Amino acid sequence: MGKPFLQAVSPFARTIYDALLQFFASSMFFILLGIGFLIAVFRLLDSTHPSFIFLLAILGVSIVLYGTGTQGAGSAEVKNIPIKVVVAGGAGALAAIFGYGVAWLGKDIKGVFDVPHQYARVTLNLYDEADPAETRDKYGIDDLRKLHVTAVARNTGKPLHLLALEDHIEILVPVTYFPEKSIVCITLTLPPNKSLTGKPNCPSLTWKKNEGGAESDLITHVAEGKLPLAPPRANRVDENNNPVPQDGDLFR
Amino acid sequence: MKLRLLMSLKEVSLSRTVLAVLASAFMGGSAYALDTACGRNELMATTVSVAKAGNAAIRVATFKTLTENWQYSLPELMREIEKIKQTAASTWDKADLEWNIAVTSAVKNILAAYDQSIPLFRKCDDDAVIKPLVWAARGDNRDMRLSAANVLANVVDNTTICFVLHHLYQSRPELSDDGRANLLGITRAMASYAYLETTAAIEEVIKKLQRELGERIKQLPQAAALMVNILARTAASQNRSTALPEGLQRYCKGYKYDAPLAE
Repeated sequence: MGKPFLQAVSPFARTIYDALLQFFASSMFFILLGIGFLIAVFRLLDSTHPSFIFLLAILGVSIVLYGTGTQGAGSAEVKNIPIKVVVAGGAGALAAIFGYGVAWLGKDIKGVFDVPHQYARVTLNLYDEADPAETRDKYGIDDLRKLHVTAVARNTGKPLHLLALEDHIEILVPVTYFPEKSIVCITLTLPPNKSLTGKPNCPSLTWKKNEGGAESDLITHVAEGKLPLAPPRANRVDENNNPVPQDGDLFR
Repeated sequence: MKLRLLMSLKEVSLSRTVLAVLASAFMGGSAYALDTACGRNELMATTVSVAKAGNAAIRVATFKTLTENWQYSLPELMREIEKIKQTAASTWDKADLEWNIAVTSAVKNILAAYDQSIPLFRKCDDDAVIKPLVWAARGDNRDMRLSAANVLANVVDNTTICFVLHHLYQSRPELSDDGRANLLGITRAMASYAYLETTAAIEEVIKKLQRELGERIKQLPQAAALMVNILARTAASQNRSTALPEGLQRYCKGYKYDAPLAE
């Protein structure tokens, strides 16, 4: 069916068809496809189960290896001295590297198959340590337990467990391969619906490894930051309690 | 004899307070919870006096209680605002300044956080509460200015705007640029529902301000923008053709803007 069709179309289309066939059979295509899988692995790393990530990575590496071939060999004569060169390339070299890596990092690789049970603890403070009274006067808040506080992981949008205490909140973030890159976003509401969330609501965090302590097996990293707060704004009304324009006042 | 009388009065007062606290505790706060009117609430009045006399830590704890019980504490805090001197803040002693800032900030935060506190403030306010706040909003202490201006912008309406306009109208004592911007900001907050008399007064005050500032208005972009915005809002006010209703006439009907400001 392909032949009559191709005979009917112009030589230009034929050229394109041949070029495509050639491209999809080429080494470059498989290298690019493999790289595509590896990029997908990198993008999904924080949000997908490690075993699936592992399968994707293996598939990506395999396809790249298929593209690169396994080895190259050559010979030449220079001033009547025969030289034979064998280049251990592609799969051969990579297999050696992976093999060495597996032997070297075997303990850590085991963790790839584990469902993550480790967390980072993010602590966000209400008060500015330098001047707690100013914070209290500015925002009118002295106890976070009266607020409705939620936290989500920015990369997945999934809600996170948090504990609200009087002057700070603690959030548990499942540990990924790059915990320091975890970003949490917060919303703060004074019931029933007065927003106290400042912008941006994903605060910058200072990360460090949790060294020592009984909990360090579970909490591998800790981070600190400041709650993204905005002063509450009154809902202005007229004498009959009808809402009126709400201004962003710039008093001086 | 006089000393003994004073002491016994103090004891009576103290035991009343203790009783009030105990009654409140045993009755789940219901001894005072029923009274959300503007009358004196002994429990809250005592809490305010403890805050005033206490150190920073006590003040934090007591203001927390006052904010949580805003329905009962707001009238008491307003009574404290009445005591703010209508003079430059730089002439107050340090304790007075700190207390006045603390009280005004607490009221500002209550009004911002609890929507029903605005009608309660308006229900309980009078010229004795508004006038000191207007002086503070144009005063020479930034913290006082910010808190007082925020409070006024949330509560000033057709019944009390004349006290603000009076300061904008009078050339003496001279308004600072910050004070003028604050008073214009407060006026803007209510301009969208100004009645006939209020609209006329606002327009007259702004015309006078524009005339007096002349070319200097180009150096005051915030004030200039506020004046334009206020006039646009009064022009669009649904009440602008309606005479001030009887219930809103107490202070601003026939207000004498050309009378000198009394400190």
